[in-house]
Amino acid sequence: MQPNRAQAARLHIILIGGSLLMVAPFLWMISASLQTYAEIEAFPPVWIPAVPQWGNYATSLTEFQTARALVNSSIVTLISVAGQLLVCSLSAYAFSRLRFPGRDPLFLLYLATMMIPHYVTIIPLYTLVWSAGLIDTYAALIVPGLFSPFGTFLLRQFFNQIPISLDEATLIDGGSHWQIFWHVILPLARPGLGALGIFSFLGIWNTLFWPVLVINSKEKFTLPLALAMAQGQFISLIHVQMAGAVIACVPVILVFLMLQRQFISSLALSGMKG
Amino acid sequence: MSTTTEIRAGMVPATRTRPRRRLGTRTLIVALMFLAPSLLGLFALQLVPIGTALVLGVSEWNIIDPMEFVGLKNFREVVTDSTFFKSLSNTFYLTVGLEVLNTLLGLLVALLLRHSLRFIGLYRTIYILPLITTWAAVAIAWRYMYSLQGPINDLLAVVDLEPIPWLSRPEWAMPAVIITITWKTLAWKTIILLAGLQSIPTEYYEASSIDGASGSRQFFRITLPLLSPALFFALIIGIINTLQLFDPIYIMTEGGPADATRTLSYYIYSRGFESLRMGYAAALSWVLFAIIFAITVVQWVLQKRWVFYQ
Repeated sequence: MQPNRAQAARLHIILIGGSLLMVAPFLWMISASLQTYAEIEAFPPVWIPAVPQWGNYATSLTEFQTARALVNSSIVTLISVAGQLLVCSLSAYAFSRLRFPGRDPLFLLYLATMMIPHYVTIIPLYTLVWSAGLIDTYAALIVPGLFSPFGTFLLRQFFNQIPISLDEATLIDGGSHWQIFWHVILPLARPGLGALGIFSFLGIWNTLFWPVLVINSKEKFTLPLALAMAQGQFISLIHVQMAGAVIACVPVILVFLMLQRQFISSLALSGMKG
Repeated sequence: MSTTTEIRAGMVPATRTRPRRRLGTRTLIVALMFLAPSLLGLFALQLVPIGTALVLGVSEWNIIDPMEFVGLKNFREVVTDSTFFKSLSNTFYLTVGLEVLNTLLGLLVALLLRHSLRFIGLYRTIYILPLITTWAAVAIAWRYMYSLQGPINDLLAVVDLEPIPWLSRPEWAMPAVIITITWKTLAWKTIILLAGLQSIPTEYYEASSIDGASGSRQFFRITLPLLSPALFFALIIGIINTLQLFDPIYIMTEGGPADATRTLSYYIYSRGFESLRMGYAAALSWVLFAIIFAITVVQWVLQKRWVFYQ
């Protein structure tokens, strides 16, 4: 839709107004993270700190153990996302490229599990983790992220768009299914892998509910959990908490800016909400 | 996967010369190798938990003592549990409020963002930022922004309004939570609706402009009917997502004040992990599942009345 000049000007004004509303909480977060305790408490409020208190970030990283949580979140997210991409692309290959008995009913079963709300499975999953003695371990954080029926479904959609003649050419040259998977499908399905990658990265990095349940000790806190716990423990130190909040948001925003296009395409195919 | 012939067997064209049954078995073996890790996950992380949830629903278990079978006692208790009904009506309030705000605002933003303008990519990125950032981080920020000395009340003071005790009064807490969740999730609706808008052929607008149709007429006669499948999809998934929200409630209100923001999903958490009643929490989660299922079926039936497929 191509607006004329006057329309364009009006659209810009409305869009800028809306953009300000959307970024205002982030601006307040950043401003508060650089204020002194006195400035936080001051009335009338301080919108721009007199001297930016970068020390708040140091306090957050060391005393609030945000640095440790940042490392934990990075390890857990990296392993989970890489694992999920591998597991899902292997199964998606089978569903997209192999004709085996029971394929369609099995795929329907995958789809059916997507309909079950995670509240139904999360309580039993917690009791299973508890019985397996895995409470308060990294494994408890990583393993549930490795399997995703949605990821299998999404990648199968992408794999189905790759012409089967490419597989046949590889087979005629004496290649195996493993070679087709690795050398033909995966390179051509990069947009799909990017879409699932950004989608699961955001999901795993941001998740709070599961870590709240399975992690107790401070050294294993992920970032969202560390933020939530700091809120209860250091209730009045808003400026330091906001520094932690900024630290948690920066990696997400950077990864998002790199994979924005893929994110939007995965969103259109799914039901994620922030 | 010892020889290439075995592996080749999975390909449809290569299989024609071989007997059917054996090929099926060979392909099955190849398929199982590709599926093995995923099947393990399906079994351990989905099927076993679903089965366990069925057992838990008819049991009493505090994790420490042995599990005890109690039949339908949990479900009978649900029917007489006043906190359950309170959380049910809160969930209804939250879902309706969010869907109305998100749909209206999401449609508005999508209509704005469909134009080809300068900086349109930048605008899109800005509107998506809340959606992708960590709930825990932004919910803490909003919690302080809502406080009596916080920036929102400071702005109200500028226009001479009394400060509002957003999160500390039952009547204000839910509106406050709804505003925050709208801010956070608006972009999700917008992206779905924008994709819907972009699939409407521009010829329809050109043709109706030549026939002298006004902008509002075009909106109600072209845009809305052709957007209805996207609106329908966004409504179904939006409700399912809202019914499972946890983070903002946990950070901002913990279900309070006076249970005013205790949603069904947060109530499941409290029963399971605060009162350690795993059986009752599992029963509640089946009730949540039944509600999601019923809502989806009803919407599916009702869509014939208003969703227009080309």
